[in-house]
Amino acid sequence: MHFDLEDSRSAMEIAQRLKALPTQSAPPMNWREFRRRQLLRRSRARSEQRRQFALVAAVALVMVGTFSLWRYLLPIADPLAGGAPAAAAPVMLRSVPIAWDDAAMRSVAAERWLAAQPAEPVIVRVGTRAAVTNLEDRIAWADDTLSSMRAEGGEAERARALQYERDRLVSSLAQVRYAETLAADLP
Amino acid sequence: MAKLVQIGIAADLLAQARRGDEHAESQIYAAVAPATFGLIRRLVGESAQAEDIFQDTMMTFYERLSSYRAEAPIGAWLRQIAISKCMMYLRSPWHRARLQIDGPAQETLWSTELEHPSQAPPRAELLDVEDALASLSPTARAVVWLFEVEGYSHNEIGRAFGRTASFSKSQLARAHHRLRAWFEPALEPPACTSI
Repeated sequence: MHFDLEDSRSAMEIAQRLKALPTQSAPPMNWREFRRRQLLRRSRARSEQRRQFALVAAVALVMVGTFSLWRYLLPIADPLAGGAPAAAAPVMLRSVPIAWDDAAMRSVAAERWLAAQPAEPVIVRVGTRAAVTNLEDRIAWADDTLSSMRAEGGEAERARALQYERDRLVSSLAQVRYAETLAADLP
Repeated sequence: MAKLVQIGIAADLLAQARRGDEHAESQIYAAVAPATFGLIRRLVGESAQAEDIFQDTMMTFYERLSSYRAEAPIGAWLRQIAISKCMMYLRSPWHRARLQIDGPAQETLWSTELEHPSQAPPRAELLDVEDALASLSPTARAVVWLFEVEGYSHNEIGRAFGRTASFSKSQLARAHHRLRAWFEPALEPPACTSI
């Protein structure tokens, strides 16, 4: 290994020169200015955090709405289409212990609110849009079935169950649309 | 003037600052800010960027003050934050892109000069160490300063840059070569004249 004494001496001199340089500089801002910027940054960080929280909450709401809708839709399809309404209707009625009149009133209110909403949201999100379309189709199908049942004089108990499910579908649709409006308000 | 690593803060003042006492925080700021900014300026060079990094460093310092365990002097702890911020900047793609946009100047010019030292402009009048240091590329300047003044080892420097110790050694060797080119006219004794 080559060791150059001259290089070593030179390196030491360079190091000495560097160490002799001032190690402090006047800071670009005093404490008050620094404090002002610090508070500004904190408040920005907090508002950013709030915005992210609202976004997460809206997404969670949409997911919960979609999931609950999915759960409601699955059981109703089988009994009505499968021709065993008498067995299925009491189960559905037991699962929701609210008065029939209350449910009907809520459904009417929800429909009124839905009617006030624009046909298409400002921002169309694929996930919720599919759920909305599905719900609207189901409600339309329930309306058709109810109409034909009334015209043909079908079973009253079955019609009542179908009406009840229709109200729940309307309620689910209102939830999803509400979640959509919340999400649309976010940047 | 004390280096940042040599600065100590009284324990009770630190305790008050940890509790959020603004007066204590301002006293600590007054004690550490000049050395912190001095270090950042040495490592980064550019004034505007150094100011940004300084502000960021001090904000991080106060944010993390509650987690300071006093295992090392507060100056050493703050120095670590400052150097980490500077390294992030020096390693950032943005900084590298800027060096490329600026042309061959910073990172490559000095190495070509080293290959042909005789072509370098006469530097006799520029013996100022500040100028010599400023003539180095940002990376070489940071390596020289960390090694010679802050006492970092090659391993530590290599790690800070996300590279190996060899990277630090080669950067330092080339930087020394360049600095010698600046200083040699002054170091050499005057030539003897023949009678």
